[in-house]
Amino acid sequence: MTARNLLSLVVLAALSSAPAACSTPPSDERIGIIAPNASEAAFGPVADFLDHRCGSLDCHGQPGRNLRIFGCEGMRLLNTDAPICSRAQGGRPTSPDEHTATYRSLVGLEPAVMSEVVANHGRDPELLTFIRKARGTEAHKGGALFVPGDEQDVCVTSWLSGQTNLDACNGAFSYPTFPPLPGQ
Amino acid sequence: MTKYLPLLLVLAGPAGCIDATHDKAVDALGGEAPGVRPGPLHRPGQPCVTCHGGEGPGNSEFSLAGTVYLVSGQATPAPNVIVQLEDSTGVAGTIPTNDVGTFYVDANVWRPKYPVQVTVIYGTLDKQMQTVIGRAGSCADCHTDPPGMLSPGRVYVALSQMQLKNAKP
Repeated sequence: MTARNLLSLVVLAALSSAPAACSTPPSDERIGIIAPNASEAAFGPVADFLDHRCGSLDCHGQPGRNLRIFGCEGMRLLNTDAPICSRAQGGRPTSPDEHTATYRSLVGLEPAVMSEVVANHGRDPELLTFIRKARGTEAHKGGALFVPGDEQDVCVTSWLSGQTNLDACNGAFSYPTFPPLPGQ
Repeated sequence: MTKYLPLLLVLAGPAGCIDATHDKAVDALGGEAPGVRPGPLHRPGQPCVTCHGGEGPGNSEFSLAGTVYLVSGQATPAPNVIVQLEDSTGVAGTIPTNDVGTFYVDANVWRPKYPVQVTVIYGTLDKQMQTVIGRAGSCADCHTDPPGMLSPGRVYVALSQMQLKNAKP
C-alpha cells in the first residue's frame, strides 16, 4: 500500500466515524448518583439545623441562591406559609416537603462530588464546596461558621457518612453563640 | 489638548462606575411622601440602607436601620421602643425609635460583625427576633408587608392590642 492510499484510508475511516462521535445520548438516558440518605429520620434534623444556621431570608433563604434552604426560619415552600415557626404567632413548623426541597437543592449543587463523598462514607467532606464554605476554607460571604469537629460540623458530616448524629444536630441549634450581655 | 486626554479619561473613570442594580433598587422606592422632607422622619418602613448604605443617594450612612410597628398586622408605628442589638463579638447597644417608629445606627459609630441578634423592648414586653440577622442592614429587606413565603411581615412589638395594653409603660 502506498503512502497515498494509506492516507486516503485514514481520512475515510475518520469521516465514517464522525457521525458516531457527534451523536447525542438518548433523551431518556439518566445517570445515577450515590445519594446521601434523604429520609426524614436521617436528613430532617440536618435540614432543620441548616434552616436555622444558614437559611435566614438574607442568606440562603432566597430563591436566587445556588444553595436554597427552605423552612420556617426563612424561605417557605408554599405561598400560604410565612417565615414564622410558632403556631401561636400564626406560623407553621418546617414541613417534610421543605426538607425534601432543601435536600434536592443541596445534593444538586455538585452531584458527582456528592456521590464520591457518600460512596466513601463521608471521608474527605471538604471535596464539597458547601462544606468548604461553611468551614471558611473557601470564600464565603457568611464567613466561617463551622469548626471541624464542632456540633454543627458533626451534624452535617455524620449525615454524609451515612449515620446522622442526632445529638450533634440538637446541640448545633445553640449556634450562633453570643457573649452574655451585662445583667444576663 | 490631546496630551491631556489620558488624564481626563482617568479622572472620568470613577463616574463611569454605575451600579445598575443599586440604581434600580433606589428607583423602586419611589419619591418622597407629600409634605415630608428628607430626614429622620421620612420613608418609614422602607429599606433605609438601600439609600443610606454608602452608595447614595442618602448622604448619611447607616449600618442597621428599620421601622418598628406597634401591633402585628397593623401599620401604626411604634415610637419610643428600645431596639437592642448585639453582634457576634458581644458589642451591644440600645437605640430608641423616633416618632415614626424608625431607628438607625450611624455606620461611623458602629459596623457590627454579623450575625446580629435583635430584641425590641416596649414597657414590660420584650420580643427577640426569631432568627439572627445574617447580613441585611435594613429590616425592610426581609420584613415587608404583607407577610408571605419570603417575609414574616413588619417588625412589631405586640401580637395584639391586648398584649400591647398590658405592656404599656
